[in-house]
Amino acid sequence: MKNLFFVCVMLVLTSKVVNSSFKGLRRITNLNEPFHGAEISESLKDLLNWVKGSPEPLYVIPPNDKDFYSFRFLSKKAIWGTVHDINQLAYSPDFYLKGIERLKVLGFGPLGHLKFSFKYDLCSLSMQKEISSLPIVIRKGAIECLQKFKVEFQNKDFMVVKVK
Amino acid sequence: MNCKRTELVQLLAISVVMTLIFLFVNANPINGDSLLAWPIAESVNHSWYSGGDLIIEAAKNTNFLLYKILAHFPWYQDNLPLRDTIIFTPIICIYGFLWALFFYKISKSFKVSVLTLAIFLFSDNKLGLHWSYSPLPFLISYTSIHFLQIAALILFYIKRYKVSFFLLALTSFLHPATALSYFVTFAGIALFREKNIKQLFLYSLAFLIPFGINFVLFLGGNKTGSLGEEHFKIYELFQNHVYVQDHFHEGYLYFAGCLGLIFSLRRFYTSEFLKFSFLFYSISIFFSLLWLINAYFIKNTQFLYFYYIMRIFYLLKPLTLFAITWGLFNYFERLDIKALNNWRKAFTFLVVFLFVKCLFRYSSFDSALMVLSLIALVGNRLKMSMTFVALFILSNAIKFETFLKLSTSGYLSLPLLVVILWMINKKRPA
Repeated sequence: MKNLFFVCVMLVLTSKVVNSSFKGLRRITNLNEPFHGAEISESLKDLLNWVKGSPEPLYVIPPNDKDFYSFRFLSKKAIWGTVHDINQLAYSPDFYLKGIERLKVLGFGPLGHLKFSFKYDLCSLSMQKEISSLPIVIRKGAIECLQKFKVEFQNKDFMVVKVK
Repeated sequence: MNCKRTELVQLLAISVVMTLIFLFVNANPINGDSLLAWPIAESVNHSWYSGGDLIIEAAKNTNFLLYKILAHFPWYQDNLPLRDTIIFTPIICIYGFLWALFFYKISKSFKVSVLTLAIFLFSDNKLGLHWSYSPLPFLISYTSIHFLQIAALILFYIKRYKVSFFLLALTSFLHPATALSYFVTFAGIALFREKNIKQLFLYSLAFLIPFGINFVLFLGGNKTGSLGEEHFKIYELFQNHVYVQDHFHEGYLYFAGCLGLIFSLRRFYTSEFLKFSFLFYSISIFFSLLWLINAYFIKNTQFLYFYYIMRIFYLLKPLTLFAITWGLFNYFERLDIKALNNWRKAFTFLVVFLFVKCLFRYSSFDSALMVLSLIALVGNRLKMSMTFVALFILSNAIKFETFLKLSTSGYLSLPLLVVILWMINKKRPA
C-alpha cells in the first residue's frame, strides 16, 4: 500500500489533475445550472435561452460551427440541417441525400475528403427559397444584405433573422 | 484464477477512487452523446417537436430497441446534469473496476492491474490513437452498456463461453454493432483455442439465438442494402476514416505493431496470455481487412456500418496498454540488482524512449515515460523514477518532435519501439 500511495502521488503530478482540479471544482459546484457542462459562452447561452423561449419549432443554424453541436439538445428546437448530422443520417439511406441537398442550400461545397466549405452569409441565405420562412441563426459579421431580413434577436455575437 | 478476496476489495476501492478522480477531472456531463440516441429519442418524444428535422425523422423510422426504451422514461429527458452524473458515475466506476479485474485475472499482480488502469484512465492520445477511440467519457450511451461487454470479455478469457456469448447477446439489444463485432472476434479466438467446431457452434447459440430474436424484432426492420453511386460519393467524402488513407497509420499498422510489441516482450508473459493476445490481434487484423475489402469492393452497407476497426479498438487499446505495462514491469522485476544499477542500461532506455518520442505524431509518448517512472517507483527505484519524470518535464519543455520536424512520421513509432525492444531483449544476458 505504501508503493501505491506513491503511485497515486505520481498520478497527481503527471496527469494534469492539479491543473484541472479547478475546472472540476467548478463543475461539481453548479451541477444544476441549465447549461452546466456545455462550456459555452455567455452570448451563446443568451441566444439559446431566447431560442428556447421562442414559438418557432425549426431553426436554420450555422451548419459547420462546433459551438452549435448541442443546439438541438439545449434549445429544444429542431434543426433544418447541419454537417454534424450527416454521418448519423448515413444509417438511414432515405434521409442521407436529402441531408446533403439541405447542406447545399446552406452553401455547402465539397473540396475533398472531409474538406468542405460553406457560404453561410446573409446575401447567400436571402436567395434560398427553401428556408425563406424559417428563423436563421448567424454569427454577427458582415452586414451586407441585412436589409432583406428582419432581425428577431441579437447580442454581441449572434443574430436571429427572418427573410422579410 | 485464484483472486485473493482482500486484494479484490482493494482493487475495487482503488479502481473506484481512480475512476472518480478521472471523472472529476475530465467528465463533461452534458454533451457525451448530444448528437446521438439520447437527444434524438428525447426529440421524438417531446411535444415541442413538430417536424422538419431530418435526423429526428430518421430516428422515427429506425427500429432500435434503445430508442424504444428511452421513449418510456420521461424522467430520462431534458438537460439535468445532476441526474446524469448520478446515473453514469456508478456505471463508469464499474467499467473501470472490470478492466482492472481483467488485468488482475491475467497478470495475477495487484500492482500491474492498478498501474494499467491508471495509465488507461490518465493518458491522452495513447500510442498515436486519438482518445475518442476510448469510450470514456464522451460516448455516454455506448459506455452505459460497455461495462457488460468487458464482463463478457473476462468470462471469455476464463473460458466461460456460453455465459460470455449470452451476455454479449443481451448487449446487442442496445448496441448491436459492438456486440456483433466482439462476438465474431471472440468466436474466432475460441475456434483456435478449442479447435472443436461442433462444440463452439453449440456455445455460439447462446449468442445467435437472442441475437436472432433481436434481428427479427428490431434490427431487420431497418432499411439498409447497397447504396447508389451518388450515395457512396458522399459517404466517402464524410467517412474517410473508413478507408486506408486514414486508418492505415492508426489501425492496421497499429495492430501489426502491437503484435510485434508483444512478440518482443514475449519472455515476460505467461504462455496463456501470449496465445490469447496473439489470437486477439490476429483475428482483429483478419476482420479489419475483411471490413476494408468490403468498404472498397463489395460495399455492403450492413457490414460497412459495423465500423469493426473502431469497435475493436475499445478492447484492443486497453489490452495493448496492459501488455506494455505488464511486459515492462516484468522486465524491470527480472533484472538482477547489478543490472538495475547499470546506468548504461537505464541510459539506453532513456535514449530509446526519447528517440521514439521524437517520432511520435502526438504527445502520447509522455505517457510512456509516465509508465516507466511508475514502474521504477513501484520497484523502489526512486532515482530511476525521478529520471523519467525529469525527462517527461524536459521533453515537454523543449518539444523535441517539433525541433526535429519528424512529427508527421508518428505512425513509424510503434514498429520502431518493437524493433528496439527486441534488440534490447536479444542482447540482454540470460
